[in-house]
Amino acid sequence: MKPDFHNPHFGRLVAQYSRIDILETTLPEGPVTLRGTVDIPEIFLDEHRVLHSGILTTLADIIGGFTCGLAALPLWIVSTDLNISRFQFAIRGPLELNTQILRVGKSSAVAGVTLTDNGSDNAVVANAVVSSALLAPPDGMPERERPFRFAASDPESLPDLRVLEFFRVTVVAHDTVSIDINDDLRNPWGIVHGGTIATLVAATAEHFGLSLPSSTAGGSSAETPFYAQDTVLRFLRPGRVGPLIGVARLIGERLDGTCVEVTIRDSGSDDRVVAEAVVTLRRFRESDPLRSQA
Amino acid sequence: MTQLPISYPPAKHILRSLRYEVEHRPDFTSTASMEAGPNLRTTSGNVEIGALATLADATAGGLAAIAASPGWIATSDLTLHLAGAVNTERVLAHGRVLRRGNSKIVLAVDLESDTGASLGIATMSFSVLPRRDGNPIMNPVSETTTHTFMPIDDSTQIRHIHDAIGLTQIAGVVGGVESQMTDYVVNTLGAMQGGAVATLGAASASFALQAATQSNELFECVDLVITYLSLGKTGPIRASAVVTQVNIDWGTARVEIRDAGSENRLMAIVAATAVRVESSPNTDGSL
Repeated sequence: MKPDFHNPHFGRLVAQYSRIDILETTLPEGPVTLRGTVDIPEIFLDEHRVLHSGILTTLADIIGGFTCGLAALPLWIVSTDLNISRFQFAIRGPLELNTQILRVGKSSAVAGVTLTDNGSDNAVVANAVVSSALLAPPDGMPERERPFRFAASDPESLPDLRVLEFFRVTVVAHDTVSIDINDDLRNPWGIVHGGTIATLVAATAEHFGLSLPSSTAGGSSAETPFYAQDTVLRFLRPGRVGPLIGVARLIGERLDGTCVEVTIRDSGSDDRVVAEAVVTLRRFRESDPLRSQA
Repeated sequence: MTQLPISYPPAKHILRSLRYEVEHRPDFTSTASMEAGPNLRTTSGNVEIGALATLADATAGGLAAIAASPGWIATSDLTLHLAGAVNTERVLAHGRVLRRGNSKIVLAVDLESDTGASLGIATMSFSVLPRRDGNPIMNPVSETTTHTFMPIDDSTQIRHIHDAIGLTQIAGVVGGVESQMTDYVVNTLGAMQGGAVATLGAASASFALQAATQSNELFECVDLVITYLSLGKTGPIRASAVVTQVNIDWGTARVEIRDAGSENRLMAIVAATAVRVESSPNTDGSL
């Protein structure tokens, strides 16, 4: 699959599915800043109104990537590292994402992303840092209008599928989850979208958590679900063929949660390692202020 | 054989406080170790996460330098997740290369006790830089195993790592800590070494969480996620923190580290998780 940045319909579905609407807020002569808004559909939430961990990371990857890309013009970028820390589980929405470029060098760029819940007095939901490598698309980048805009699609035109269904996630074993890749799950580079990989990481870690003893992952009641609360994700090589296979390994169980390593391989590309992640799982907290109102 | 210039590391250096010993192998794996003496312990008796970060950074950095040869490297980021409190006498670090690209090298370091118990995992990425005069010379693709031991200086050995770094608290600043740029913390680029930056970040987060709970109980970091944005060369190097989450047993903080002597330039941001600890930790490595 070749890169195609000139076709507005190629490699865009993951970003469209995420419902993000992005507007550039860069001040004259200032560093690149973007503001994103997301009207959260029910299909992104569970019974506790917790945003799916994969979508949370996907949103950070998309807007962080655009921020790095605009700072890198006339080059463009691929994400290389993403770390995200979630502070609030249940949300009301809509979500707002604000970014700032932290560093731009000759070969890399770094952006910070803050996610807030407009429906909860703009409480900070998560902070993320997205690092990117600068690359030149073979056919060049199309002209980007400034201020940049990525308009959300009409929700009626998008797949009405829950997150794991949209990303074609399948459970293989207690520690193994896979995604069957199709073109909908790629980005304009023609490779597997970072959000697809992020969702596989979250799904693998959270499914692995189900097999842990009830006393772990935060020490709360086993009746409460747990989530990927902190994720460090390193994109090592492009995912090209699939299925992508995520395998989890326990690092340790602590007072605050359980630490899990997730390795993602592309089984159709000589089983090579596509991504490596470390995820801290924590159980839904009784003290979460929105839980009783969910 | 690794050829480190006589000038690096200096006689009094953070790596020597660790009694750092490392073996790099031709298959781009490494095993390093540190002796976790009293100078590398918190007041609760656990091993300082800053010392563990220094171990991981040095192990991965040495391996990355070999992988990048003839180029040189600078740490882009460092993440360290502990399996729990660490209180073994000796910590082993097993380094492996996850990706070796032209401009970037990514590695993982698995931390273990000398009995093989998992203590945590670190990951790091390094930017590959053009070689400059003064960079240590590493064999391009090592054909033989190399072994390096950093002999200690007695005076640094007995000083606590915080004292040796010169870490002091800044009154009136949440999580405010600072240290001067000295030979003790310098890296091969003449900037503050990544492990020393981690030590500052961890101390800042711990103090901030302790202040947020208005208690005398200790918070010790178990996770550090550090993004290095610029080199800190002048000093003083200052850290401040914002508490992002606090619960009964643990909390999180976001730390900014700046070079006050270079127009207060932002050097690094740190996302830290810390747990409340008892003053007498268990002896089996668990909290």
